[in-house]
Amino acid sequence: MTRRLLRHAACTTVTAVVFLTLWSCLPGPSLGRLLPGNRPHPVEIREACTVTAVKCTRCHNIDRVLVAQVTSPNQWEAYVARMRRMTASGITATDASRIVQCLVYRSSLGQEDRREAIVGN
Amino acid sequence: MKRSLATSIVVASLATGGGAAAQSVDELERNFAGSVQLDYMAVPTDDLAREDALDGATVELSMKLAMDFGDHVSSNVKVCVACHGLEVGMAFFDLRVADELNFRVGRFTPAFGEFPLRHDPANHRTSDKPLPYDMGRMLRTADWNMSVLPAPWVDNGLEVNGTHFFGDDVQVDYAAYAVGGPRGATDSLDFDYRQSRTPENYYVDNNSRPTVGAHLAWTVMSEHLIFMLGASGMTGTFDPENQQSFVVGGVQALMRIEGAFLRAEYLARRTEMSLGEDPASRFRYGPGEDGQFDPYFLKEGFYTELEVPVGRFDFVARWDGLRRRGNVMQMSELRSDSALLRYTLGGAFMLREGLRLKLSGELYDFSDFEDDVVVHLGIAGPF
Repeated sequence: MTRRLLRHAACTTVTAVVFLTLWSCLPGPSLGRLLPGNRPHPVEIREACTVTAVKCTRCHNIDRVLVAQVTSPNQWEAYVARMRRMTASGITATDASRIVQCLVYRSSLGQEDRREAIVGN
Repeated sequence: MKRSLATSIVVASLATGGGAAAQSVDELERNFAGSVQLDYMAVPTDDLAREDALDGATVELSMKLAMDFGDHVSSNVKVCVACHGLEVGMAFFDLRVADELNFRVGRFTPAFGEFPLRHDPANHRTSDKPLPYDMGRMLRTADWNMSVLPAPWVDNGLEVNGTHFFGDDVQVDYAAYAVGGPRGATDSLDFDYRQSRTPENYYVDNNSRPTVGAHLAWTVMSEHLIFMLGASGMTGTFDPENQQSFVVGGVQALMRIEGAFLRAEYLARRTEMSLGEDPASRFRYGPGEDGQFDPYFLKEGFYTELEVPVGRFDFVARWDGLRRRGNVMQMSELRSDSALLRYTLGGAFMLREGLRLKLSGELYDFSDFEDDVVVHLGIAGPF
């Protein structure tokens, strides 16, 4: 039984690594669904949203951010600070300010723009 | 006139005080969030699967209220409703001194492994959980007495945790905790998960001894790659007389390239069974060469999972399993070495913001029972 398990494990590992290697060659959706593609955005915002997409999806998908019931910049700051305190979040103090920058910017967009970001990407 | 003036002063002071109170309440940041999943589990290879599993439709609901008291103190309260009824999954304070030192006090899930971080149905792509962490949705759940460590493992206690960042790309997380621990009856063979969450036994430790544990993880993060390695352990006793010990350990690895995740975890739990007054009549297998009955069994579990997003789809391929080695009761359908392998293919389709349709198929390969096929169809999302 142990030999069978080891054979399965080896096959699974090799397959997964090959697949991930191929996948890494494809362009990734680094901005997730945070910004709509139908209009230009400042470079610093795009960079901040890239950090947001990477860090926030470490423990949960980006949906959590998209439906968060947050209405003001102060609330976003508190929200991100709380996430930063979660073990394994990987959000540094610098990351936190950039994530807040992205989310406050996203909140300033109209509802239609935000919906376009989710569906259009 | 004097009475009128005094009344005005009292009203004015109350109004001022009330205003101040309202302002201080406004300064507290509150956030409400939750998630719902409705899942239908069908077993097409079994006419009456209810004898072997909790099949059919189930709802998992969670609602969480978080409140921040400034930069260093926050609280979280979360209630969950699922097959087990209404449960409090979180009720704790975080007292944060620095990134490297945080005290968590109350009712929470102690740090163990990687999956419990995303145990919420809205945070993983399959309807059910990997076998090492299954909490009742696997086939033959009663025969196996669930998994190695059902998630979320909720308990009362104290945890010290923290993160140290080495530059922007490397972090080390640690946690150490003391909690009430799992429970079992006197003279039992394994944990009794119902005792851990039934109010009939009160939400207190059953043996006056804490269970202790620790977790350590090392993570490298960049824009395109995340790589994590971790290890966890927990040990204590679970019977009221404080005689039966257990130790559970686990290792975890995670790699993310762009949006694709590859995860793997291995858990093992060594549990001491009560031999009773007459082990020969209690157990199926006799004593060893030394004439003594082995009081321990080892339960192992693993999963590897690949999650790949393609547009509005997230595809998942998972291979997981359980193995139990050790003596069994006379009536048990397991043997001294039993195994289960499960192969899962599934996907989640984003219907609209936050709402996903989940579909997965699973092949159960049992060493002691007929193989079975399971299909899950669910809808899940956060709010």
